[in-house]
Amino acid sequence: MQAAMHSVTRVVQDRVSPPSNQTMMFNCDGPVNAMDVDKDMNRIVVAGRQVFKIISIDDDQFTEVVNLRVGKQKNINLSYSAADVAWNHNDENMLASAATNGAVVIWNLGRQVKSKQEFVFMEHKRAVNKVVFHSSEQHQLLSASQDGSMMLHDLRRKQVSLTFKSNSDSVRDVQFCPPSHGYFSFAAAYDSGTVQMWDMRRPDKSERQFTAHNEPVFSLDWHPEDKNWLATAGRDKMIKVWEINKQPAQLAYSVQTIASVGRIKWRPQRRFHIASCSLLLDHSINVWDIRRPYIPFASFDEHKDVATCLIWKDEPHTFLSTGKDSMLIQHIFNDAKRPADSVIPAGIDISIHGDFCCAFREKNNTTSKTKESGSKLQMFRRASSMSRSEQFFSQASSTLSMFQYSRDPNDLGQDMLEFSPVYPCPHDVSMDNFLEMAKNYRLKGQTTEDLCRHNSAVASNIGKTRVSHMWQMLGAMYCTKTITKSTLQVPRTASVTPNTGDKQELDKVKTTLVVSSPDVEIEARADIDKDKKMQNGEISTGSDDDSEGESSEYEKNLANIASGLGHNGDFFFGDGDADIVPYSLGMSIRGNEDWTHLPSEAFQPRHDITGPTAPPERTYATDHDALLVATVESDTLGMPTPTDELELCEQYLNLNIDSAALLMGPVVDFTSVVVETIRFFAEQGDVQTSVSMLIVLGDHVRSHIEEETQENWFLSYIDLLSRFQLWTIACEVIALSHLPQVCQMNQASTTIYTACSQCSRRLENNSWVCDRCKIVTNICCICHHPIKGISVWCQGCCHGGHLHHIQEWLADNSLCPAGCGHHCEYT
Amino acid sequence: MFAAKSISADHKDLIHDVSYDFHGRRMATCSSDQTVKVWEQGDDGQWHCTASWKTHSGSVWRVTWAHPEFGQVLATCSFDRTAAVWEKEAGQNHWLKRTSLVDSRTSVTDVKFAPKHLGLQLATLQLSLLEPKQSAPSNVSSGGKVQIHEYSEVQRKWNKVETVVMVAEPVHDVCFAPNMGRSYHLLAIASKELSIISLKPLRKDPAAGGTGISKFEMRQVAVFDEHESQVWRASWNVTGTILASSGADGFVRMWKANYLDNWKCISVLKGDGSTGEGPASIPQNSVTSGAPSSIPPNGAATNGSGSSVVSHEPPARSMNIKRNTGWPWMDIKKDQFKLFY
Repeated sequence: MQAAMHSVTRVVQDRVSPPSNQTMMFNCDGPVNAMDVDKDMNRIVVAGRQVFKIISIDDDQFTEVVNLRVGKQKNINLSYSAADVAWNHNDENMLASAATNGAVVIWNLGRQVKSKQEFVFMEHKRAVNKVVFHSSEQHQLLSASQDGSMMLHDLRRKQVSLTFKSNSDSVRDVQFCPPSHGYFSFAAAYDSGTVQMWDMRRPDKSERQFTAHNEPVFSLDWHPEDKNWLATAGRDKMIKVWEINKQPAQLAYSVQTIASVGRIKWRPQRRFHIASCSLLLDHSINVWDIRRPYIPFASFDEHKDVATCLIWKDEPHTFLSTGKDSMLIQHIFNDAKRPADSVIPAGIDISIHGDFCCAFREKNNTTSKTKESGSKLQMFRRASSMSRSEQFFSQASSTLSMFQYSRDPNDLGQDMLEFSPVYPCPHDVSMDNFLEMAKNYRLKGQTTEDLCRHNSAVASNIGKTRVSHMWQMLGAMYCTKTITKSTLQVPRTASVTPNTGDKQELDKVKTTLVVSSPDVEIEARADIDKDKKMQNGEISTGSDDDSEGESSEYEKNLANIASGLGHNGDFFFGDGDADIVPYSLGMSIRGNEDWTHLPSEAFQPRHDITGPTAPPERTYATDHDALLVATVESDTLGMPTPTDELELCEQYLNLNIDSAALLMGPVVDFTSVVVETIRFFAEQGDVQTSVSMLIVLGDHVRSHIEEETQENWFLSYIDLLSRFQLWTIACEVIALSHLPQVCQMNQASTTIYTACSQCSRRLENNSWVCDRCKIVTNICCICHHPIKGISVWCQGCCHGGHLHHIQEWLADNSLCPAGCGHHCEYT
Repeated sequence: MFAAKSISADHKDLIHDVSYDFHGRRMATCSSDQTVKVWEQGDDGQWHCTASWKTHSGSVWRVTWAHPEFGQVLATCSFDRTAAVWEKEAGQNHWLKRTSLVDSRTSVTDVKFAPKHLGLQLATLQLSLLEPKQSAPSNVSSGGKVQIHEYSEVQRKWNKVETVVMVAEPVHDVCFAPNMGRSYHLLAIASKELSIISLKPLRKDPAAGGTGISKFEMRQVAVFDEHESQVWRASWNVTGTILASSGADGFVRMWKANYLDNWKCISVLKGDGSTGEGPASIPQNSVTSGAPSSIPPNGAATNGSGSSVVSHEPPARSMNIKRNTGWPWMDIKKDQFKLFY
């Protein structure tokens, strides 16, 4: 045997530099089932299937003193394999061990021979689970066995003096009552979940019993101070504390652990603390405060396998444990993990409406209160540890608070205003604006201009100035009036737009005003400046680069034209409020504003733009523009673009040339800047605006944005709408999308399958008649006529009928009218 | 403005998580007392507890809702090393345990449902539940660093694509903002500080095909230490424009970016709803010095945003959201008892 070959003394050092108490480890060379200490806490006996050793506890290390598993190989029988071991409380040489073959072995360390085995009781028929010495009667040894009996062994007479029989129930644990509480009492725990109290003087019958657990009880422990408390623990993962002075015994506390509990032990001098180790799965040793039964007060993770036995060293800061990982460990409370400290004591979530809910640890300074409830033992406690455990206990509650958003304080109700604090917050926390816009936006059915005007009004109604202005500008840019009066531009536009294939498309193309990108920027800026003389960073952001990137050859052509005309002037449309200011990018926006109230807009509008403006109202800042207008006819007609489109355009131009306005704006391509703006809104998280503009503008911008991006926007917006249960609007958006992938969403899952109400078979070909039953399926259960029109049916039992019939029926009945016994639900 | 209202939660221990459902009608709380409570808002605007039941044999760390397309489904994870999926019985207030996932050998500290499209994709499994944390402890070095993982359909496994190096402290919570069509992803990391990271997918090399790992341009948008101690949780609003964070100082702060992408605090709220002014006088409440390395970052961000999915084809922009086949999808046999929205 490996263990036997080890020398008698072996030193395993854990740490070198020692305070008096420290975490120490010792490898016992085999899984340890049990241990016990002698009365002076100087030596430990560890026992397992292949281990039986005496180990001395030094200040900084464990030292193996005696290996009891000695002798010739053939002599080492099952008696040397111990399930439990006990050290006599009075005779420091006397040990007892319990073996799985039913033997109770007495060991005498005082024997001079190598084998210390003194006597073997073979009274039990099955494995012995527990041996325990009486605390003061040094010759009385109690053993508990799987065979359902407990025996009191008299070690002087070397025979069993008393046998306590339970009703054929395996005894898992037995513990003598602490001597101060009762000399003759002991408690036993059974596989059935029963706990029995015995008096040694009455061996025929237990004094009392109660069912502690529903599954086997593996361990019990008397409270060292309170004689009315008994703790039990078992396979049901519970540790329960019973008040046994009550009749019947009352459950005072219970702790739910994560695994079957193998062993429990009260922490000395701590009334509410109990240590536990589990039988499987969980390798840690937990110390619980039974008043807060959900989070371990302290946790010790040193063992690599389950711990099997634990013993406190008569003081609350040190205990010993053994485990299946062969280790004997002395744990120090200072090294303990405090699971309660690492938990996250707060939760927060924002609802889709912008309300949010948060949970926080309650901070109550209840130290003074708990001091009163503490026991007299408090005087023994060190101040620091006391505060720790009290703190632990006082932190065990959370407050749950709702923060309800409301724009108008009066909406909150009087009681809320009076009794609860109110916090200022910007409006855009709420999703009300989103809902408002989603419901009121018009996306189809009118001209682009009207849609834009309407949507602009919607946005401005709820204070979204920026969005409102954007709509207005879009309306102006893609205004249909502009088109009819700006047909002079058409040839140029058409000639430079590669995807104009036919006359129909040409009409659309007409709406596109083309100009080189710098002008676009100016245009956009000018409109804003008109309002606030302030540069809105968003519109100009990156438009230079991007529009350049998108510009193709023809745009360069146009740029040449434009530059030839001296486009450094500023173009305005609108109310003719032509106060031109030099723009400085992003000026005054990043000022020292109070950031606690983020402005929802980059600028404050001075006044509203009053509707889209038509080109005739345009004013021109420079003479060059007039020049352009004057020359535009020859310019366009003379443009050498030999395409069919051009010819078409020319025809069109000729037809409309009379109606063309005299004053023509410069050729402006808004598309790139509009695309930029739409992108900007999406990047800001306002996918609603992006998608709405995308839909309203339709073909104008669609081809300029990647399909994937568009699809992503659409799906995001549709998802958002469905979160707010705006199904109709979501469907409208789906329908208006031109992306096949999005449109398909309306076409999927549109089939309703029907099943026969008699045989539950799915109706494949004919949805009226069941092939098997040969009956018409949609018969009203009440009037037995086939249903035409509105009907309801229960998805559970497939019965149903005319809506009014079922309603009448359900007014009086809850079961199915067909008599199938189903509690019908019509959802 | 916000009006605070305290709710008597009647949890017997700390509440670790609150979670609204998809439509904001229900709310779930989970606590160390091993129970989960479901709350519903009545017509009067008050929240009532409609269900409370014991879920685990250990502290319940998080609770999360599935997309209602799959029914009323909750997932919880617990100290007892399991995660569980619960479904409400139609018409009743019973929640039945549908499954218990016992793979973990340590406490399961986070649970999240995959985005809806993944869930439908894995419709045969009923629910696709991603448990980043279960595997995370092994591959996350001490101290919480946040890793971004991405699912490769070709390899059928999750690959680590990015490590957020800006965060060195243990991470308590990570949270992707709803994408909402942005070209980048926003990730909030609650650690000792609150950081917001923006991840912009870089255009993929078409030569690499669908197998390549997508690259992100990572940028720390903002770092806030206003909480002055640990930041416990972070949560985005539905459009990903506002971030709320709760910290050990007992305050909730809300953050928002302006049009220049500057993130600022827009509101400070006393977390317990009590009247209290100013965060200065709040006593520090036992902030752990020992960093809870037991709380691994769930940064194995198999998280809610669709970013983690890569499609077969080399996409023009690597941000490609997978589509399901359509709207709520119904199998008459399997789903006939489910409540569909």
